[in-house]
Amino acid sequence: MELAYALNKNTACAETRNDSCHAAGNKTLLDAEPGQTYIIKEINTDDDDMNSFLFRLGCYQGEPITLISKKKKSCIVVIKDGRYNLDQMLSEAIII
Amino acid sequence: MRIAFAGNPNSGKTTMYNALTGRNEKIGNWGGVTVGSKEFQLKKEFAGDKEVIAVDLPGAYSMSPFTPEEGITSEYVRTANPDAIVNIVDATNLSRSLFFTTQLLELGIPVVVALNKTDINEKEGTKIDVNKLSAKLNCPVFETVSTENKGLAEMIAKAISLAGTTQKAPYLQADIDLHDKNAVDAEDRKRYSFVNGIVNEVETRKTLSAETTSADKVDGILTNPIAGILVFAVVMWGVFWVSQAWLGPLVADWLVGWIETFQGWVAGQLENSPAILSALLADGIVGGVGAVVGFLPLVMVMYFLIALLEDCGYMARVSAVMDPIFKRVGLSGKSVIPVVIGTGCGIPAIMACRTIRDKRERRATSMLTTFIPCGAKIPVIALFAGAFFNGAGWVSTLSYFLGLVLIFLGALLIKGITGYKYRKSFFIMELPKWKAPSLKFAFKSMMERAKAYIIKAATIILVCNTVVQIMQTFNWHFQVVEEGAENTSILASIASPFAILLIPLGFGVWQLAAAAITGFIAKENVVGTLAVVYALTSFIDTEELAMTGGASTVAATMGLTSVTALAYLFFNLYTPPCFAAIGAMNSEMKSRGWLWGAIGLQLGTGYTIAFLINQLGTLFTEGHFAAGFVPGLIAEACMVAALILISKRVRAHFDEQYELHKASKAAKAAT
Amino acid sequence: MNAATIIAIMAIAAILFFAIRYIYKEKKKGNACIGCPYADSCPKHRQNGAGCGSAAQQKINIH
Repeated sequence: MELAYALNKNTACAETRNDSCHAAGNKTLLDAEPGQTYIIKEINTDDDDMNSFLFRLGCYQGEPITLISKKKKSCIVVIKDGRYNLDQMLSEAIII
Repeated sequence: MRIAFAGNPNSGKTTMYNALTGRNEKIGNWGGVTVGSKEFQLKKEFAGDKEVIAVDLPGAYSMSPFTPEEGITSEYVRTANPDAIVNIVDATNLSRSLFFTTQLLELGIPVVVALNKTDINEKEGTKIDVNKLSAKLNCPVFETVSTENKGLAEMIAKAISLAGTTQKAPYLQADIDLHDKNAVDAEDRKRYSFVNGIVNEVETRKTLSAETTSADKVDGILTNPIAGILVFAVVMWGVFWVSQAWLGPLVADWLVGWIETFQGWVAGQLENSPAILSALLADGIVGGVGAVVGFLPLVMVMYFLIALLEDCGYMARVSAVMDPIFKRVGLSGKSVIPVVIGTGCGIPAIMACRTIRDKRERRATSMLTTFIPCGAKIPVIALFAGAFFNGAGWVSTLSYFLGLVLIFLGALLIKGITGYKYRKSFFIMELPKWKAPSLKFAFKSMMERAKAYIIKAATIILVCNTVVQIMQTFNWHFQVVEEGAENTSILASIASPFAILLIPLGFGVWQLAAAAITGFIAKENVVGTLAVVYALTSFIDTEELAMTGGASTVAATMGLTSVTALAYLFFNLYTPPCFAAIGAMNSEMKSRGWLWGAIGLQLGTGYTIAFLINQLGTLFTEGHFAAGFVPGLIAEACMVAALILISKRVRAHFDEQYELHKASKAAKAAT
Repeated sequence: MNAATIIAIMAIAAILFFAIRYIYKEKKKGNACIGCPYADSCPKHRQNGAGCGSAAQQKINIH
């Protein structure tokens, strides 16, 4: 289980070259449990416009985010009172 | 006096605008249906004796635009100085909506908040203290339900009475350097905490929005990569089957009977008149237009079903499930929406591409979306399905799914040509709450489109048919062509050179070439022109035709086998759309290169598909290649060569740009 | 020339006159696609007016 998790983590890093991956112990939305509410620690999309767009939806540091369901390539979350479908890249960019 | 309607996407602005103005603008249960601003006078019952113009704007989450259509909204409220703003707030998502509200309140223009969708809140047991909210925001707040016209009259009366006054903002952004990203961020954060404070005070929720509901379970299935796509395929197949194989033809049979009776009557009346007159009126005008109008029921049923789909909230789920697939070929999940709208008409589909953020994805989608057969192509499909394939339902289903496959292949091709490198492309789509589709709305939108279809048949198609009829009747010396010398007519001499190009495709006769050419004016013209040049009307009534031997008559007159008929059908479906759609492409792409690329790609695709079907089909059924195999192959080789050439040039340009970028970066680093 | 012929000629003339007049009027109004099934719900329907022409959009078009 532990190993699988690590592997998963590695592929995620390789795919997105996300800098935040280097900091160990950071959980992204992909590691979250469905039905649980988390507090957003950091948003790291490497794209200022995207960051501020997410901000305007109410998705920013310190705000709660709830995972409703998780698929291989996407997940459904609740931000504020709206449901959104996020793709894999975006889910990985949200650190909780 | 002008009143602007602004608010978050999918908050119900256009529904309210329609209710207040009596217009019938396109609505749908997902964010980003409205992609341009529209204005119209308010109904008398709302405006009184004043002249009030309502301006419907695309949805926006804030004043800083993220997608092109959001930019339209912020630009408008900032620069066009409306006399008042109606801010439509989605009451089910107050905390997000008020962020934009507080920004609008800072503009100084009087704002009235319409707390929309309050019926859903009532159902869910969410209460919002309107008086308190009004006091906190420093502006009037009204509870409204725009789908039921509730609260609209009071709200708009207040907005009219406030026009010209100055709004006092409850929250003012501090004077900061707008170029300093951190300062802007901090300010936005402060604004959000102000909004959160208000929401905490005025809103009480019975069901928490984060709870998993049964709707979430449905969403889980619909967004599942396998089940979701299967459901989508079944739903779309159902739409095509009902409209084009079952209910549509049922009504059409009856309608065509009447049209034929009428045509027969007209021809009977003109028995003693000159033959040309009878040809012009009975065959050209009544026959040609009748052939197109005969397919109206199929188109109407389809529009009705698509309107239902758009209204219930399914589209957002489809776009979520298609995103991974579309991304793989270099498009975005949002490309699904133009594709589905494209089943109705290519022009709004091309315009819907505006919600796609990435320029390359946007252009590629608007270039490819017309591969999906639009409503005007339904008559063409139905004609060939009826005359050559016994009215088989698989023809139309195949046409749509082949269109989808062509979109994927085309996207891969564009990806290859532009040398597109893997780039971060994020996808986020709000999943709106499910809603029972309104039959009334679907019916209204169907009737509206039916009316437009008839107008089109009675104007453009009619004039084209008359012109075709005249060109067919006369030769260049303006003498009536004699029987047996049809090849000397004006139409034949114009269309013949094109027909030569079509020989490798199996339909190199001038009549079919002429029909394909008139199709660029409007695709229904293909049916109209065929009706005129072959003097046929009863295309659709397959059962009756079978009894009278009519279906085979149609087939025999055109001199096509089922293989070449399919090739001709697909040639018409996948070549460039009508001129109007090409114009729309031009204004969305804003690039000559991309536009010509699009036209070239579509011509090439239509030609290649028809070539393959004709040659391989003939090989399969008759054991040898069809006529013109080698010239066709040469034409294909030329196309491939052109593709490689373009790709090389584009890539060289791309590298150049990249180099420049590097150089400027290096210069920056040096200083 | 019999009555039916005269009526037919007049009918053709009238039909064509009204059809062409309608097309001409719509074109003059700036309607790019006459009888588009999406008609009023299409942003392209009234290009000259509010149509799809936001200030931002039109600026780009001018270039």
